[in-house]
Order: sequence, then C-alpha cells, then structure tokens
Amino acid sequence: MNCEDINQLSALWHSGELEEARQKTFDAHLAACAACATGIREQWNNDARLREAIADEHADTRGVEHRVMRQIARERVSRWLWRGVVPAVAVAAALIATVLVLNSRRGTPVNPAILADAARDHTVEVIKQAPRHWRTDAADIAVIEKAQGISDSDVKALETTGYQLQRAKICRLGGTPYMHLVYAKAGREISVYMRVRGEQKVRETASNSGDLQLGAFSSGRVQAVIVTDAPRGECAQFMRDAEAAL
Amino acid sequence: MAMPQARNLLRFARRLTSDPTSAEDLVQETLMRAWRGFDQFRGGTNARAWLFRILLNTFYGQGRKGRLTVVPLGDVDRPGPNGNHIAFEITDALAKLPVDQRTVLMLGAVEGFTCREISEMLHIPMGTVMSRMSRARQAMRLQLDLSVKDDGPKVYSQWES
Repeated sequence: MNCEDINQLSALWHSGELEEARQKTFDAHLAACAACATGIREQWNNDARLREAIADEHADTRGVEHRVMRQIARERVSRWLWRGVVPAVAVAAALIATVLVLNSRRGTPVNPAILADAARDHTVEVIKQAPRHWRTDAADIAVIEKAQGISDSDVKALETTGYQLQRAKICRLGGTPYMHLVYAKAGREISVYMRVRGEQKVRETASNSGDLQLGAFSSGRVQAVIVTDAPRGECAQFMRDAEAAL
Repeated sequence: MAMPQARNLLRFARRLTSDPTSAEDLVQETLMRAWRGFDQFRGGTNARAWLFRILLNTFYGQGRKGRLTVVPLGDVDRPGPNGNHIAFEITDALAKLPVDQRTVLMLGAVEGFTCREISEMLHIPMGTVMSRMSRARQAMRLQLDLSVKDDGPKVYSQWES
C-alpha cells in the first residue's frame, strides 16, 4: 500500500469500514510513513474539532417543533375530515339522491283533495245518480275527449279490462278539469277520472274511503283516478289492467 | 422518534441552505414528510439515516442544489471578543467547501454516517463518496493551515495531488 492508496482509502479508515486485512496494511503504512501519519492525524483532529464546533453551535429548534406540531394537528383534523366526515356526508348525499331518484321514478303523491273530490263525485253522480248531463253517444263523447286533449284510443283501451264505457262528462277535481268516464261490468260501475298528465308522474296510489275503493296512477299520456264500490281486489285488478292498457 | 433529531437536522440544514430561515423551513418540511411517510419507515433500520435521507431528498427536490455553493455563516456564528476562534475557523473552512464536499463531510465526520450509508442517502457510488470525503478533508487542512500561518500553506504533497 502506497501513499496514494492511503489517500483513496482514508474515508473508509475514518468511518471504520476497512476490512480487517486492509486495516492492518493501512496501519502498517502509517507506522512507516510520517507524512501520511501526520496527514491522517490532522484529518482526525480536524474532524473532532468540527464535531465539537457544530455541537457547541446554538440551535434552537423550539420554533420548528412548534410549527411542526401545529401542522400535524391541522393535518390530523384534515385527515379526520377526509376519512370520517366527508365519506359520511358523501354516503348521506348518495342516500338522499337515491331517495330523490326513486321518488321521482315513483312519481309525486296524488293530491288528497282530488281523491276526496273524486269519492264525493262518484257517490253523488254514480251511486246516488244525481241528475247530470252525461254524454252517452260516442260522437258526443269524442267531442269532450277532444276538448280535454284525450285520445279516443285511451278511452277505448280501458274496455280491454272487460268493463264497457257507459257515459262521460266533464267535472272538476281539486279545481282541475277531468273527464269523468263511467265503465260497467255485470252491473258494477267504476268511475275513471282522466286527464292529460303533465311532466310529473302521479305515484300509484290505492286507498279506501268508507265502502269506496280509490286509486290513482299515471300511464302513457294520461293520469287517472279510479273510484268504485267494488271489492278491493276487483278494483286493484282493474287498475292493473288499465295501467297495462294505457 | 424524529423530534430528538431536530437539532442535528437543523445544524446540518444550515450548512446546506443559504440562511437560517431556509434551514428551519427545510427541517420543518423534513419532519412533516417523515410524519406523513412514517408507514414507509421499516422498523429496525436506521431512523437517523432515514431522516437525513428525507432532508436531502427534500433539499435537492426543491431545486436548491445549484445556487448553494457558498454558505454565509452570518453574525451568529462569528466569535465575539471572547468567542471560540477555533470553532469559527473550522466552521468557516467548512463553509468554503463546495456543497457536495461539505455535504459528505458533514454526514461522515459530524453525523457519523458510514460511506455506505452516505452513498445510499445521496444515491451516488461509494467511490464518489470516498473521493469527495478525501478532497473535503484535504481542503479543510489547507484552509485551516492558511488561517493560522501567515507564511503560506504547509505543503502535503501526497495529499494534494
């Protein structure tokens, strides 16, 4: 090992990374070469003085540590928000959106005032047969269909339920004009209050008022309210058939 | 784990950056990165080396390498009338080293990392670490020799080739 080797390997000698055999050779050279021994010794001393000088240097880390702890606290809150609150809000928002979508698909509930008016109207005009100007002629019925914007095919389609159209007239339910159609089968009469539906669907509804069965649905272009004193099952069957026909 | 190293990191950062405020910012960013990436730290490995590696990656990642060839010590480090002149001379000599030599010397001589550890921290070959370390120590000797002798540097022909 010559002086140049000492120069090249000095870093490993200082850090104690020389393997045993080379360490011995290195030390042997230092023992024999005064210049290298002086150089290494001065390096060693300079390293020690540098360590001491740096160690004595004032280094107040309180400010840094305080800022780090404050930032960590902020990031913990942020993480908590992102991992806890934000997902919870997202789930809640998704649930609300789902409910809204389902509701919009199911349609809006029918106005109870319309059902009440329909029940009253059917009781007075169909069951109690109060005198009213009914249209029974197909041509006359077609005139009021046209006035209401209702297709004749929709009116006829309900006859596929097995019920036959008996008569028709215009009435108002909840202040809105409806076409009141009366269908009959084997002496049992059903009132169908029909009008052209708007943008919103009416949610399918089945209820009762005393002996009357009430129903409402939207299908195709029309919205219909059903009233009958027929048993519940028969009313439900009519509604299903009517929805399918329309 | 990281906070007890803050002082060493700050002293090291002062030698890398141009001013004390930048050094504090660098240490703060280092500690935050260590906190954020603590799950990447492998237990049983050298935590100090991990922290210094983060500091160096942060420093070089911020593109500071190019403009930091000289580090002014500032008045804080200058000795007063009764101050430690030896400490001043040696830190002044350190400050005059090029940043690559200063970095390896600080890591090796002051922080006690091995050449292998420094090589991994700086992502450079062992041979490069060894030669930078050797040149840094020679330059330190020369600087210190110049500062104490008026009649010019002492010549160590085998060290300065």
